[in-house]
Order: sequence, then structure tokens, then C-alpha cells
Amino acid sequence: MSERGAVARIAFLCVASASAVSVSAQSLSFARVGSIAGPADMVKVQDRYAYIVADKTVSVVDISNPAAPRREGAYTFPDRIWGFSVAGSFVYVADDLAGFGILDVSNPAAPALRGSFKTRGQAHGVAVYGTKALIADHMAGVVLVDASNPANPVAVDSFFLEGYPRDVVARGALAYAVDSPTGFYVFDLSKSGPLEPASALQSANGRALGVSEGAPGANIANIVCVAGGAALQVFDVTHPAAPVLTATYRTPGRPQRVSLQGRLAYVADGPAGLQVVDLSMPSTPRLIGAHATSAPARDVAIASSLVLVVVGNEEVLLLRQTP
Amino acid sequence: MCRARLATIALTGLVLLGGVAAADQWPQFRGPQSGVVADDPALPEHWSETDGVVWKVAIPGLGWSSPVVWDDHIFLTTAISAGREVAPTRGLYDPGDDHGKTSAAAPQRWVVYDVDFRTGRIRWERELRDGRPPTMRHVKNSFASETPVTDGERVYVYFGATGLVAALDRNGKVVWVKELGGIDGRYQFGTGSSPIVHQGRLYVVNDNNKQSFIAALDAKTGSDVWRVNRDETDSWATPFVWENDVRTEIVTNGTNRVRSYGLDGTLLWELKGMTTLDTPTPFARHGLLYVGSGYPGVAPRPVYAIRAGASGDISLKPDEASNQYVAWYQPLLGTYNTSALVYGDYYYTLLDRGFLLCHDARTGKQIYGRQRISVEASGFTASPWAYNGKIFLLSEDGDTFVVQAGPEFKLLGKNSLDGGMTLATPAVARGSVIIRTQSSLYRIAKKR
Repeated sequence: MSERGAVARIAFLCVASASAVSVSAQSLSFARVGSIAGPADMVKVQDRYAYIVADKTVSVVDISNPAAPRREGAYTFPDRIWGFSVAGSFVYVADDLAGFGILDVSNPAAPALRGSFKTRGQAHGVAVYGTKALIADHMAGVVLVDASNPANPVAVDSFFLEGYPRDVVARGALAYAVDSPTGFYVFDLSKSGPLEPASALQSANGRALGVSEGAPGANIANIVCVAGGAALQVFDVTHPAAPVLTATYRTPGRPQRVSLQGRLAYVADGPAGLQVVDLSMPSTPRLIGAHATSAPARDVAIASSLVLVVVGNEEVLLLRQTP
Repeated sequence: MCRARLATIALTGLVLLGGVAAADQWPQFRGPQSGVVADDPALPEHWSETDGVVWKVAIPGLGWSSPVVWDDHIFLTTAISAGREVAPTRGLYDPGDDHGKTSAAAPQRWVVYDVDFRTGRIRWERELRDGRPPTMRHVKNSFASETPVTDGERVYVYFGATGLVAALDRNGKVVWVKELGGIDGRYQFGTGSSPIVHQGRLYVVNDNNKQSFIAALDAKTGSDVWRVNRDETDSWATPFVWENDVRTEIVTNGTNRVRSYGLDGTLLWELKGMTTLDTPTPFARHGLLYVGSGYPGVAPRPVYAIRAGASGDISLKPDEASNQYVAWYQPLLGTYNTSALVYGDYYYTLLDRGFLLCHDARTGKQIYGRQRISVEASGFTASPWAYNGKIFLLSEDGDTFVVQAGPEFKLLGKNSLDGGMTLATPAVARGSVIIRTQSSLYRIAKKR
């Protein structure tokens, strides 16, 4: 299962990266091609499915025909979902005080809970690397979970974060966590032994609310972005033991979440809608595209040339990017 | 009355001598020595629901105020809802878009109890107010979080949710009632700052989003002695009477300033640099005043140790860690809800998320860093206390973890109760520990 998931993820990333690299640098524009009715808080995409979270519920929506998205199935967790991750045929959920849940979406029409456990505090985010999951938990910090048996995930270690853990993401074996007010942490999950950060910076500038992974792009450094407050922070993580904050970029709105493709950061920028920032020069981000939304943009996901934007609590907008 | 006065004088005398007061009385939040109790081999160190419980009595409603003890009277307060209120949840958590602020679901009755120390029998109960509170509260707060205070003659209660402050005699007769106004603070998280009594005056802090103030009231009559406005919008910290070598001052914690007032209300000194959401109560030991605050979602989360005799603004300048009156400063040592403990030479910090740290009380130098108390504990709100070379840490689960005092962290044991969520700081008096849980009041003592 996990192998299949990894293959699917790699394939997806390759397609997405290739697409993003071909984008013109100066003038991105977007055309609405469809929408998915809300409510909606967060969105992620894998293959032909969009995974939409609204409060306690994960919905699976087939977007292979973007003009006519088709809702397949849904599953409601006990608590509010603060963060989630999709890998292979599983959706990993940070389910507030209910903890951690693994949802089997191999049958999109009938998502089924495969396993769960109560974390020590409030689960806020989750990242996945192979059969391991890393949970951002308000009480414990980041919690490393052995999810090799999805029916029985087991916490194996944790590392306390000084502030409130907000989010965690993984790219390959490297996981990144942010806490509020200022912490940015890098973990190498391929290493055995106690869970300890490879590095930690106290420069995430306060109100970091989300971290998104930077897919490897051509000729640019590995980038992680932190969205929060009124800025997008750009970290060069080429050297995991010594990440560098390369830029703090003020977007027109208030960044809520960010998704990276190649050298482009797609920012759900609150009242300023969707904003696209070129990070070819990580120290000098440039705004190269935007799309106004009817309500604050709250989350964004990329699927090839499709961009999905959560607009208010009303809908998920499907946009076609041109060129 | 005379006996009570004599007892007050004796207690004050012990405090002035700088010694640890004998724990015959526990008149206020954290007791007469900010959690430190005189060693006494009769005090319990191990207990459970079935071992060491002299009595257990159900307390209705919801109140996180602590019990106080005078002779064989245990006073405590509660707010009893006529409906079903949102249940509090353990731990530190993000309550969502409304930040956890909650209105009362139904009218409340604000009640004071006098519980017989020997038997647990409720000697009297007095309802002081009923109706809907004009204020909101955090989902984890209660409408009766202020600990009463007693001088042995009267017990003084303050319900910040309504603004009502009152004095009752030991028979439960209402001596006076005064309205200070129940006004929401900036965050609408409710109230928690307990009153204190000193030399015939009752001091009450009422910080809110309209006009914050500290009031000195005549303890006999409730009339205003003085009232000083404060530039604050929220605080949950109990003021502290600091009787130092130079003078006696009333120290208050606050988001904008730590402030010290003379007994006539004059502002003596102030200090900037606290965090938002200030809950820990200042206290003193070794000639130093300790004050801190530490909401985990912000930085800094400071702790200051302050020398006596200051005047004016004693705030640290950028990059300073001390000055003439700030003996030491730690930028990230502050706690959210718990107050710190100085026991012997050491300053102990109980982080709400379940860690204990130890620093040199005189210098601020770290003795040991974060030590996890238990992976199972859901959180800590009650402040620590100490006796017999041991530190007691009461979790929100009702488990009291016993830790060896001194420069090495060593967990000695865990004493569990089944009374539900536990946020109130216990009282220690007359050879007993009085623990309030969400549902019950326990008296714990050694078997004799």
C-alpha cells in the first residue's frame, strides 16, 4: 500500500513539477473552469481526486472533469480537522483533541477509518514519510508515529516545541514544523534514534500558520515557505542542518496557506484572493499572478495546470492556469 | 474575634520574620508563603482515592477557586448553573475561531460554602447572587475562579464575573456587599484575580476593557479607601503584598506593566515587558520579588526577579538582562497558568504542558532544564507547593506528582484521585492537604 502511495505521489510530483517549470515568469492568469460547493476549509489534490476538509468531514471529489466535479464519498471524524495529508490510498488526519486518524480512501465512494489514536493534546497538523507520520500536537510538540500498520498506529517518540505547534510537512525524509510564535524546525526522519531536530530557527516571525513543501524545481534551491500574519517567509533548506530565512515577503493580503510548485508559490492570500509568487530568486520574491476571489482565499492546492482555491466557506474554485 | 486577631498577628509575625509559617491557617490563594509549607512529618506524601482520604464531599457547580482554611473552617466558592454548561476540556489547546469565549448557558447562583475541616460536613452555604453573568468566560475558566481570602474574622469573596465583592462572618452572615462592576476583558475569557487582605484592607484588581482599576476597600465596611485606574484590559493574576526590608507594597501583574503600589495607592514602580494573558501571581523570597507570565503562543515569556526599593520605570532596555532593580531576567521561563515556586535555594517552574525546570533563585542560573513529569498528564494549571523536601505538582487529571526538591530532578511518585478535572491549587493546613476537583473537595491526611 505505502509503496503504491509513494509511486503515485512521485508520479504526481513529476507531472506537477514539469508543468510548473514551463510556466512563463511574468504574467500568469487564471480562468474559472468549475467549482465544488462548500462548506470547505482546506483542500489537497492527488491524482484525479480532490480531498476537501470542512470542519470534521473529509470529502473525496473526482475532478478528472474540472467543469463537473463529482463528489464520491465522505467521512466524518469526531472533532474538527486542523490539518491533513494525503499519501497513496490514505488520508492522514490531525483531528483536534480526538488525535490522529488514518482514513482509507482506496474506495473513494466509501472512505473508511482504518486506525486512530488519541494524541496527548490537540492535533494540528500531520505529515507522512513512508510508514511514518509526524503530528503537530499542542501538548506534546511533534509526535512521531509508526503507521506501518494503519489499523494500529503507535506513537514512538516526540519532541517538545517551545511554542504552539501549528503545522508540519514532509518532503522525502525531511520534515518541517512551525510553532507559534517563532519556531521553525527541520527533522530528518531517515535517522534512527531519538526524534530531535536537525536544526531549529527562532525566526519564523510570529504568527506562522502554515508550512507548505517546496517541490524540487529546476536550478533552484530547496524552498520551504511559511504563511502567516501578513507575510510569506521563504526558507532555503538546501542544508537541513542550517536552513536560511532568505526573504520575508509582504503579499497584498494575509497569507493563510501556501502550496509550492517548482519555483512558484501559490498563496491563499485571504482578502487578496490567490497570489502567485515567483521564488526563482529566493531572496527577492516577485508577484507574477493573481486571481481575485469573492471571499477570502483560505487554502490552495495545485494539480497540473489546475489550481484549487478554497474561497470563504462557500466553495472550492477550480482555476485553469494560463499560459 | 479576639482569637482571630491574635492568630492574624501571630501569622503576620511569622511572615515578617521571614520564616515559613506554620500551616495552621491557609488564608489565601497559595497560602501565607506562596506554596511553601513548614516541614511537618504529619503531612501526607502519598494518597489515593482509597488511601489517606479523611473525607470527600461533593461540591455542586463549577468553580476553580481554591479552598482557604481558618481553624476548622474551609471556605470555598462555586457558580451553580441552572442549565447545562459547556464542559471544560483538559490541556492547552486552540479552541477555534472564537478563542474559546463562552456565554453562560443559563442563570447562575454564586455560592459560598463553609465546610467543617474535621468532618467534611457543609456547615453553611450562602447564595450571594443569581442571574446571568454579564461577562463571558473562556471555555476552561469558571464563573467562580477567584479564591476567597480570610483574616480569621471574616471571609471575603469576589466574583469578578458579576463584579460582586462581599464579606461574610464565620457564621455565614453577610457583613457587607459591594458592586465593582462585572465587565468583560479584552479577550472575554472571564476573570480569576483573587482578592487579598492586609491590615484591615481588602485589595481587588478589576481589569476590563472599559476602565481597569485596583481598589483598596475597608475590610470592615467595604467602603473605598482608594481606587487607582490601571492601563490594562485583562489579567488573571492575584495581587501580592510584598513586605520587604524597605516598605510594604502591593504588586500586580499585567500585560502592559507590572506595577507596585504603596499602601496609599501611589504607584511606586512599574516594569514593561510582560506577555499577553498574565495569570501567575507574584511572590517573594530571599529578598527578591518574582513575577512572570508566559502564554505559550507568544514570546518573550519573561520572568523577572526584582530587588526591593525600586521607583519609577525599572524596565530593562533592549539587550539588558538585569539592572539596578532587576536582579535577573529569563526571557522564556514564564508560565501560562501556574505560578512558580521558590523552595530553598531553587526557583521551580511548572510549565503548563507538563515540564519542571529548576533555576537558582538568587541568580536565575539554570540548574536543570525541561524535565517531563509524565507523558500521560494532560496539563497543569494548579500551582506547585512544597514541604518535607518534596515538591507537589497537581495535574488537571487529579494526579499529584511528587518530585524530590533540590538540584536533581527525580520523580518520586504519583497520587491519584478520581474527582475529575482539577485546576484549583490546594490548601495545606493543620496536617492536611485540601484538594478541590471539579466535583469534590477532599481532605487528605496521614493515617494516625
